[in-house]
Amino acid sequence: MQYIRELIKYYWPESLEDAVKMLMHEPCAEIIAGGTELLVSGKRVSAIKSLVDITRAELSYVKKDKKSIKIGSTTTISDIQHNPVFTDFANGILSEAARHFVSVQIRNVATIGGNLAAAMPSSDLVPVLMALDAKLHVTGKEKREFALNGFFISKRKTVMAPYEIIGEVEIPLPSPAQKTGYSFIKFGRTELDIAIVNGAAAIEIEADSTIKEARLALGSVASNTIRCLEIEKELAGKKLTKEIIFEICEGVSKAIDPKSDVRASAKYRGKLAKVIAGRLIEKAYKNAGGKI
Amino acid sequence: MKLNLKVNGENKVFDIDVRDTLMDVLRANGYTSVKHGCETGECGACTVIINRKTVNTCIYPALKAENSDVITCEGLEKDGKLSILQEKFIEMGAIQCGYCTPGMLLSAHALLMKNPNPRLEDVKDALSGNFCRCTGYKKPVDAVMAAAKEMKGGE
Repeated sequence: MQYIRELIKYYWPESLEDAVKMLMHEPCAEIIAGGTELLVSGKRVSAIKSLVDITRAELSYVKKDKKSIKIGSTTTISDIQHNPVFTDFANGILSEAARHFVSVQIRNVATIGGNLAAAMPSSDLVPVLMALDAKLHVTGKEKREFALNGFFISKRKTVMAPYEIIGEVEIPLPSPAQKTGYSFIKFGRTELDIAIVNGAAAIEIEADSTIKEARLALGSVASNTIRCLEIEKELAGKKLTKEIIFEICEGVSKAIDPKSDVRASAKYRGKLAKVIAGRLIEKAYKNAGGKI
Repeated sequence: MKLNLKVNGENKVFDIDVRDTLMDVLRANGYTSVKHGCETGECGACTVIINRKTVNTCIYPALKAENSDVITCEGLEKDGKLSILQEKFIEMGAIQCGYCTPGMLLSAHALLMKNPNPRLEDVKDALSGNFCRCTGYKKPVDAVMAAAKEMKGGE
């Protein structure tokens, strides 16, 4: 491990509670799941003396009941990609995001909890989980629940304390009577490259195609993935046409704060974000059964 | 500390350092088909199969592999005879400098273990984490498709 040269101890806690204790009491301890982010984190991780590996703490599972789907935090991206539960659920957007995730080798090891805790603004899973209105169950000194909106402070930073661990991601199931459509778009140079802009949407419509509720999340356009709450409010109560979508998406520029990097300039990202938002809204609306 | 592994069907015990990646351990013990490439989990040259799944060993702590079943490229040939997949790579010119080849072979081998009848897209997806900087991907993809066809014919 080229960046973690001070490492002395490697622990295998069998429960979340044991893992939290180790994080609190061991010197310079850090949590590890798949390690695909941690092991490439450069100087930021050079002080680590103990690693607390939670992949044997019974946190790899997908359970579905009448109200929700629960995903254990060390469930790998491959497990999500291939789990039939997600093939048809929510127009398959979680399967699709998992399929676009880096490469087979990384998907086999990287975990959903790790991807969330890494708090990268380019994550393909985060906008999808935001559109699905997922919440996080976190264990520390006590158990806490977080909505994804507000969980990220900035790049690599969440509201969790250093000893807190994501145990479970819970996705609520819409009632069978609801007409909800979903969409996911990743825009990048190739299917597997890090996104230039990504996003996901969920739109619930009434019987007459009026929007009842909308969720729109965009990634890679600010220091963390964002929910476009103003746009969501604008969409509520409307029947969509191409013109209305175009007009509403002009407001995207107020919600975002794009940065320039090797993949795209801030200006390009800003223009692209409006287009992607429009496509997401249109696709989700059509998937809900709305006509444009 | 000790690491117990089954490598290519043989039970092994290695002396390791807590900081070792699985790539460090395998290379130090003679499995030099596991190539040291980018060391950031991007290029796939260090790919091995662990419990039927491909993993980039350059970013995989060795301790994680305790008691698992590892296949490296050394394990693909049987009794000195190359596998059909290896033969096809040679026959179809899917090798140039050879540095990415062990990783590509293992990604393809893991795919064929799971899916003996892959579509072109499945093969492309399976090889998507293995970078070739010499020539490209068409010949490796064709070689995997040809191997799948021949292996099915042979059964």
